[in-house]
Amino acid sequence: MSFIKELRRSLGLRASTVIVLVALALTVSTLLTTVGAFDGQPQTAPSTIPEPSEHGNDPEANLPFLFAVYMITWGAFFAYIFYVSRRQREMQGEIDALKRALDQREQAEAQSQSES
Amino acid sequence: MAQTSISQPVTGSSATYSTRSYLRDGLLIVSAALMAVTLYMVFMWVPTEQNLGVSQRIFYFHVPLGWIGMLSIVVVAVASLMHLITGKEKWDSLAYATAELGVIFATLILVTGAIWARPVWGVWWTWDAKLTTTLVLWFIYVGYLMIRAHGPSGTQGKRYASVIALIGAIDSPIIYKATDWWRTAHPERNVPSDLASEMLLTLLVAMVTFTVLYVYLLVERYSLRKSESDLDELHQRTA
Repeated sequence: MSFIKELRRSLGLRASTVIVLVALALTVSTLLTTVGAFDGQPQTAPSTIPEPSEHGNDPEANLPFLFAVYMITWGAFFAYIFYVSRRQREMQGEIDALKRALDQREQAEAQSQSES
Repeated sequence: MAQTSISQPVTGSSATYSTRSYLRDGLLIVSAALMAVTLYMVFMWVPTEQNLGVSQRIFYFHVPLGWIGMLSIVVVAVASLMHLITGKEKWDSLAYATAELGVIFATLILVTGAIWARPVWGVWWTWDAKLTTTLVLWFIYVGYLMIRAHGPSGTQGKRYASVIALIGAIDSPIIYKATDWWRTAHPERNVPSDLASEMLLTLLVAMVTFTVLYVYLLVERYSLRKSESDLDELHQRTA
């Protein structure tokens, strides 16, 4: 639990939620790919898709390709959301700092005007 | 000259900010829930295709990615056109945010397509009309972003990029019709007409899921773009 708290503290709620969801999705898709993807009877092939060239009659032969596609897609989404969340947080910090600096400068200018 | 007061909110009122935050969180939760449903349908519910075997399940990610990739360039073009007509910053921000997402989705279309092509066609890549026009789309997105990053600064750079986006949008119908116009190795239709009902339903759910995810990513990126504009404004005021 302390790990989750630390994650929330350092990354923020949204980024932490995304990380947890992506991790869950990756785990589930990996497990399901290897366990449950082959139940049921094969259906008719769409006639427009070309004939397979490598897997022969084994429907599981191309499992690494399926795994690679899902890993790459999820990885890309995860990396992008992480980048956007981090950049948003950094930018918000910078905006707040600049606002404070402007505030202080305005106060100093107002004080000098009232003194003169 | 009247000095701009810093009491004016740069990022909008707290109520607006809160609404945006709720919208983003809501979209994230909905897209995560839909993605869980999609994963269940793709891996547990839909039957394995007879000829292509398990690799056919790539279809349920590859086709929605293609749909979003083509949708993005249309959104970029419409937003660019509105920016050229009205000159409003918000249209340019929308175009920029969508173009960045578009390059990610276009990259994923090409990568997932190549991975699917290897077991089905025996090659990673072929200069097929559909694949080539999709690669052109990727170059259009990259060109747009390069103009924004390295082109003329200010309004001129934005206008150049807008023109590129408008020209690039022509590629979208060409990609869609490529299999009708040329002889290609790619399936003639993006969604085969004789697709089994379970496969069609799974595909539709996947397309809805990816569309919601796309909207979520767009809202996030647009929000970031607004923050970048606010920061530039503050830098100008402090200079």
